[in-house]
Amino acid sequence: MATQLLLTGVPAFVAHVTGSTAIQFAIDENDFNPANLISVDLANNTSLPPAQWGNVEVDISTAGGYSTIGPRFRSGAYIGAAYIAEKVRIKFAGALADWPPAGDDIYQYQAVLRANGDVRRFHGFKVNVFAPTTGTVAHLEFIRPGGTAGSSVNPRRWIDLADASVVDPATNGFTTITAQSPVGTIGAVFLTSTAMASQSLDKPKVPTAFGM
Amino acid sequence: MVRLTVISDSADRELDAVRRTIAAFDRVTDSDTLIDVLRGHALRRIHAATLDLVGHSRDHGFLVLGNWVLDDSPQTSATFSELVRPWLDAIGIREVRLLGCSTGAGERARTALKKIALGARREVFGTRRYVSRRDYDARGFVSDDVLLNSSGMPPDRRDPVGFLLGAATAVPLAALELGAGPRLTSEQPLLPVNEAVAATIIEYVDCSRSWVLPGLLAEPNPIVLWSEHNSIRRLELLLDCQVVRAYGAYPDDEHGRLFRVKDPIALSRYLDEILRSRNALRARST
Repeated sequence: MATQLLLTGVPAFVAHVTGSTAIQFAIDENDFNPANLISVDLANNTSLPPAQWGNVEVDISTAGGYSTIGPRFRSGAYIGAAYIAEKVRIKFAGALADWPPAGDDIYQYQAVLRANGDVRRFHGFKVNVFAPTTGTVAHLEFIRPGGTAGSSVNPRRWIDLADASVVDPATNGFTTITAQSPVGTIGAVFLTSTAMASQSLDKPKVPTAFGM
Repeated sequence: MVRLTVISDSADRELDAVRRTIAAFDRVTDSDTLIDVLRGHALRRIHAATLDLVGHSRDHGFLVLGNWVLDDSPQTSATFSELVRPWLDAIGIREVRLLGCSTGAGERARTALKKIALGARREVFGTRRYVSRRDYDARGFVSDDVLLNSSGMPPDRRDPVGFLLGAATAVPLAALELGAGPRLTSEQPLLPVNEAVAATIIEYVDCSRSWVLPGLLAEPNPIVLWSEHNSIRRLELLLDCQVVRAYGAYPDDEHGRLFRVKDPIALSRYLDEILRSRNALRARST
């Protein structure tokens, strides 16, 4: 039985450091309302074994991880991204009311970790089915966060939707684009970290203005 | 051991050539295996001052170890600060060298050097040009002159003696008809050896180029003498074994030619061993 963890990426501007790994951060650099601070302990991260994923609050900030704050204070980074676990997202839903930015979908900022013998990482991308799918191989236009379909800067890739080493299958509930999706369908594909690197899509966290 | 060499474990002709050249190294495929390798050395109480990471470089001059790109991202810096640094401390590593092509040449490559140095809290060096198998010998990387840090500065010299490369002559040791040089006295630190020992001492010398410095007044210690083809050969070790002076036929019979020693510490140790065994023999015979 696979164990999985859903992580949501948010901008992180560290406001308070209460321990070497215990911090509070805001997702807006101009928001100084204490009620909007999100508290996490960066030590409760995805390096924990899958059996303890219930304790995870945030993704690792080291190689392979998506968080970029910390990982330890006061020498760590104060501005960056934090990929928070679903329980943290729900707990601080009020502070995250304006996230993601208008026009973007939450899956563009989400990552999935799935343990089934080994641990695999996936990250969500917003895509537009660009051309008729050939068998299970789809021609997809990748829409960057903050972007729109049809932009000339959007990368286009041929992706085999049936290849589990590339795409998280739609049956797992995260990828919504299938071989049957008609041209012009906009939806989610969750790519493996290996596929992201090989397709030069390893920087899904585009809004650099947000410190990501 | 003064240095550890770690090579990216990727099927590759160039890296294979480097692997065949270096006598002792470890293979890594990612950050986890690098940490495993360092942990293994630390637990075996191996001490080293330099960690050489060998691989190809990717865009911007980022070194790649297996599938790990040592880029300028916060994750790379954090990996060094959180996961690698404790083992560097345990081993005694003082400097990390990223040995790929031009890993210190570009702006982002320098940023990566800076961030890794901040994470590792050590000097981190990259390279300013392409490197290849010719930059290695059995002990590891030898072209220290291509190294620079994130500020573009070369490493501080460990040896206080330096010769300008531009002043070197292309006369190798093999071109000299080695001779006994100027007159010797018994007060001088003479070290008679056999041909085999002399050959071993010469192995420590960079025999490919030489300098002529008639005004150098350094005292030799020791003066190695041996016999070959019925004539006396002489090699003077100067400046704590950092430099060797050899005498040849005219015009090198008076001031000699100077050659750099590749590893003065190792040569000193070798000479200490010879002297120790001789002293032991002398004590036994008396």
